[in-house]
Amino acid sequence: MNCETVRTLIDAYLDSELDFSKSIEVETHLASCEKCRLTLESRQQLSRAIKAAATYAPVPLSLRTTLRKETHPRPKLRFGLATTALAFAIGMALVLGFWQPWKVGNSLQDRIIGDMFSHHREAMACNRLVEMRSDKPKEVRSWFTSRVDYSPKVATPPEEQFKLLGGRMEVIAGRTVPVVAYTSNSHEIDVYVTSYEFGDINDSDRDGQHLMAWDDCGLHYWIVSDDPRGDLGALRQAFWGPRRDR
Amino acid sequence: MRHLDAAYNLALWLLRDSNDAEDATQSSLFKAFDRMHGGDAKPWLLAIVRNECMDALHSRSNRTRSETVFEDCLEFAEAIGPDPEEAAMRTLDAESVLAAIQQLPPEFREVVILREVEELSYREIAKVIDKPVGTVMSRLARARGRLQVMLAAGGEAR
Repeated sequence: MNCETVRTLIDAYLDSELDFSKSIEVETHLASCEKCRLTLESRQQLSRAIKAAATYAPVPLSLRTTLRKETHPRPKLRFGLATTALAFAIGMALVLGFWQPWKVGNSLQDRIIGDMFSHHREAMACNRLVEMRSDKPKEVRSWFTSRVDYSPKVATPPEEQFKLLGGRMEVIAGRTVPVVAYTSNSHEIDVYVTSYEFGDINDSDRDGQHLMAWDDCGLHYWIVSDDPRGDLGALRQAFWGPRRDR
Repeated sequence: MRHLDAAYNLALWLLRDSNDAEDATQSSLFKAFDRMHGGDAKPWLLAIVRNECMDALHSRSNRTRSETVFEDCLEFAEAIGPDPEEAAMRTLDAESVLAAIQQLPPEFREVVILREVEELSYREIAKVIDKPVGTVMSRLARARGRLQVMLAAGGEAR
């Protein structure tokens, strides 16, 4: 590599964006070329200076307030033409028996639980239980933080029978949610962590799979496994402490 | 709210006006809420902010003249590049560094901010500005080269 090539690559080298063989070539050249070494140094100096100088400006309060108002709007009680028409349509549908709103809640629940069971089965069948492998709760948790806008708890596995495998993301009822994967006596265990928007939670069993759900600090946790319920209880306790009466 | 600081500051860097930046951030966030997105939200949100700002820049009528002239002056110096020894010797005070970034054309300014302040990878920057990774690499290299030239020139003037 000559000086000209190195100079075109020096920024990518500085930003750790070169592949291994290229960066070795750059380093070899740098070891023998004073001028390119100085170029790198001056770029590093510039990079540090920009980082130090360009600190965040505070977000104006007016913007924060507007956004909060818009994203958490107060319910408005105004009946326009569209609302009246909609109410009429719903009324007609009810009368004619097309639509049973009391079943809507249940069907969302069914969908969420169905998604969880089927993702769990697929993950086991295809042997892709984790996208990010680690047995350290802290690492799994920080992997999640760049992917969802809430902070799921990742419990240290209780006792020796459980082992933390890592984390992955799955789509449940149209939302991407984090999943913490554990193993225990050759049973695979998934813990799905969702926001409270997923509605009520209930324990459930289907085709030899079990689901145990609870809420904690505004998040819902759902353990899914073919391991019997009693064993899942120990893992839930690690997440939450002993079950409280709801 | 996560990433609000990042969003507002990118807008501020691109538009160099706090009122415009506020407007751009606000409408970007409304657009973002409209199509909520799982996965890695930051590059995606910043891409919306960036496009909003570029639109705002294009509709500003009093723009470009001074900047084009400035660009012409720089072409020559940039081709030669700063003398590395000189560039390395100089101490860089925050005020002149900020002033130099402000003077970069927006296409250069954004890659510098996304890399140095937001610490995005080249691939993420490519996603934000909707250009290939090679373009990110060359723009960043040229932007830093320009900054060094400007800072070197500023130092001599004093």
